[in-house]
Amino acid sequence: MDDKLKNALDFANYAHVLHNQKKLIKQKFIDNCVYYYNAGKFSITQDLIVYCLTYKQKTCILLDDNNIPIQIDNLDGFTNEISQVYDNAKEQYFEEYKKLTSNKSVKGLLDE
Amino acid sequence: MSKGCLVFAFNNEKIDYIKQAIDLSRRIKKYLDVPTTIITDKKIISEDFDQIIVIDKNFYSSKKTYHDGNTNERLTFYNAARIQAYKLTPYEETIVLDSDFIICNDNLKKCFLQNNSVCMYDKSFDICSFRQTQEFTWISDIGCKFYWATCTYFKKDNQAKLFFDVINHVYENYSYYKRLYQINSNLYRNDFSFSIAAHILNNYQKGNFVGDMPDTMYYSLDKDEILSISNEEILFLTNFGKKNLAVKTNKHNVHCMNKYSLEKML
Repeated sequence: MDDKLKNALDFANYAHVLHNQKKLIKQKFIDNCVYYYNAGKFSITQDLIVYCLTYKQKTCILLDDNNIPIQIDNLDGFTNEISQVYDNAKEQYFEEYKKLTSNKSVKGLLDE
Repeated sequence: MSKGCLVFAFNNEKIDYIKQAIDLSRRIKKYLDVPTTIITDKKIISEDFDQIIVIDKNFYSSKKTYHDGNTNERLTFYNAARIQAYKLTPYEETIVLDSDFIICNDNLKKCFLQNNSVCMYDKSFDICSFRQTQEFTWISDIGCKFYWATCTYFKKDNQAKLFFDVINHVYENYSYYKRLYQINSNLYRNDFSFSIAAHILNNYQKGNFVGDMPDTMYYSLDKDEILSISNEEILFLTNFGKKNLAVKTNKHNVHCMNKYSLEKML
């Protein structure tokens, strides 16, 4: 096989594996951002954190992922908790993404 | 309230489901810190299980083609005992798991923090993300939403009892429901009967009778090979079209459908 073609195919295979691995770690990040409070399921987003930070009362009612109203008794505590969970998930995602993209071969992607 | 996992494991001519269940129970202990009860057909001695419940497997059998990469063979498949999960569980809150489900994180613990009587996976993620996976979105072209029976959470309450009563009804009248929902396969699948029961209890509409699981269901197909398994990482050689793609999962819970490959790695 022509060397140029072989190099192109090797790169295509590498890009394919990289793309798939990126999708897996992104989905894991989304899963890691799920937080339960008073039996409500909250997928933590930057919007939710900012909303909680700017809310001026000590308690509030939030709609969870299933649009069920959930009473938040201690909004400060809740905001701290979700910020912590989000930060941990984000840091893990960042580290894994950095490792992944620093590898330039299929073997490197799978050995990291 | 007592909490625990329930695993059904009936060996057939080739596949050692009990071996898979033992590995799963160790992972459940490590990541979820709850006991596991095994439902099987023979008396076994194992310290890995909280309880061992013996039932007759022959009542629930059918024939299924098992794939191992590009090869396959027809073996007996003892899958329908799952419909007895509500009756058999010793726990107030139960997670029923397939023995080929590999737990690598503690996400499932979050099931115990919510109020739904029944939770199942409807969102799933093929570890080889380039494949078309319509078959895991709807049970058939005109059918209802697909739920995975692979991992089901339920409480011991009236609503969950109702759910399992309907599943038993669907099982007993499966040839009728198979036609009604235009399911092409002749094989009885728990995924289908659980999905149909959820659809019926939602009054044949979209609804929220069944709650969400806390994360996404990751799966590999039976044509994928498992190359290695460690505590949190699994290396696969997946197959799509005429190509192969290497995939590594890290701290993902994965449903591994290639039983032969899984057994070699345990």
